[in-house]
Amino acid sequence: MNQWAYVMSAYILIGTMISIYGIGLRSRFRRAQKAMPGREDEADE
Amino acid sequence: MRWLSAVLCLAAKDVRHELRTREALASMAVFSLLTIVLFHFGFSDLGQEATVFAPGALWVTFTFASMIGLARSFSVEEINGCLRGLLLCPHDRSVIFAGKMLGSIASVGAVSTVALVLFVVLFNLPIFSMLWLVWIVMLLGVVGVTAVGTVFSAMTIGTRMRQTLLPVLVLPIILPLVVFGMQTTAKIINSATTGSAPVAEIAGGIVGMLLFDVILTTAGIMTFEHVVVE
Amino acid sequence: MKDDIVPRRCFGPEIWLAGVAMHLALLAGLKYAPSAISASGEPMEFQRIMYFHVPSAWVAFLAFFVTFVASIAVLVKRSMWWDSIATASAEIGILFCTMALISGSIWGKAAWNLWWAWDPRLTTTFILWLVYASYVILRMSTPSGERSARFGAVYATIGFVSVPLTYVSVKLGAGMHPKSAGLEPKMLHALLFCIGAFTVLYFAFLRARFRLEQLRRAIQ
Repeated sequence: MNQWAYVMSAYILIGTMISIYGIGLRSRFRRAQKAMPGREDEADE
Repeated sequence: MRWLSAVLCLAAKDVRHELRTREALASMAVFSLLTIVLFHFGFSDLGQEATVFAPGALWVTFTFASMIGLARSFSVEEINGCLRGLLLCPHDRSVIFAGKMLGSIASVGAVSTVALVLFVVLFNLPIFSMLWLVWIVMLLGVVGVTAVGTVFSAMTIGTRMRQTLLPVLVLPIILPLVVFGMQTTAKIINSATTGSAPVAEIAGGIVGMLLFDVILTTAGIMTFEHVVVE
Repeated sequence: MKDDIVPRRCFGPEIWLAGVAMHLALLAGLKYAPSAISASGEPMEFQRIMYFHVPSAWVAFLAFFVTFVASIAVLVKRSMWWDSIATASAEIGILFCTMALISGSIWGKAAWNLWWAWDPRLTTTFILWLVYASYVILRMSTPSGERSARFGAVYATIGFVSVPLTYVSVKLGAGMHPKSAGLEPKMLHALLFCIGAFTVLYFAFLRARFRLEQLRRAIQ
């Protein structure tokens, strides 16, 4: 049981870090896009 | 040789400048003294044997003291546009690198020597017979540190954080050299106190440091021209 | 990755591939791979950390190697395109290096009952992390442009050269980090699949981070 706790905490930590980085990358990209003059209307989605 | 005389000229200029102002020398020396005081209260006052912590303390002192000297190496050139003048000289960029490095070796080496002697006296280290060997190992360290430090000193004057950045950049790179230096110094001090002489191990450490110096100096010469292009 | 025009989207479609692969990697590590058995016959479930730890370390080394190659290209060709690759790869390398260090630390607590040991491989990875953290600090504190690219390239080159030296200098102590001993076929499958999944994720991140860098360049 205890061993699974180590496994899960490692997996969850790695998963969280990857997700946070991915989401952060997306929002950094959005912010940069906003700073782009005259580009807001063409933003994706 | 033209190259060598230009290098020596530049190094002599730095040494003369330092002897007149004594700014870097003074701050490096006082910094070393303060570190020695801190090591006394941090280690020997708490009951640690001086021969045990001396290698680490020595290298920490001289590594951080050299940062002060290296930070000044190029910031003095920045005033009055001296660096531009240097770059306009009809010489290879390697002349500037070698001259600056030699000048730094002189000032950092001088302060390190004084710090070493003070260390031995203030901590009563029984290593007088081996002092010259410790000194050689320390000079080998100085060569590597100044090789890397000269490149990064020229670099940091172009950044927003200026010299604050220098130790952050230099220390991870010179770590292998410092680790080797500490290990070799520990072996020398150990052999001086116990009387045994592991000649092969000490010689191996010195050869290893020489190798690191060659690699770091080569890397410095090769990359320096990319740092000072204007 | 040849998009020289101003990028519109952050992630390309390959992020979906990476997402699916990562979820399959999760299954491979937790379900597909059999439990490791210790010499005394007890199951060692904590060994499953390996399926995420080894790929993280692999991607970290790959990313730093890409930064090194890209930095050489910057010095030789004076190309800002390569500088974007170097910057992007270094940042992702730090992410994966951090993950390798943290997962390794958790594994160490389970296996050795130690969070950290100054083993040559651990120490070298730690120093590697420090070198590239310094690289990022250098990039942050230099106004972006041609000079920043040169400085970064010089630092990444010297830093990469110093890493093997670090390994040699700290190797004098005996290492306790496990070597890749004979794994069971199913374990090897799972590990290789996870390495593949992490590599796909690396390239998806690299492309996205590269586009962000291109966008920032375009704004200036």
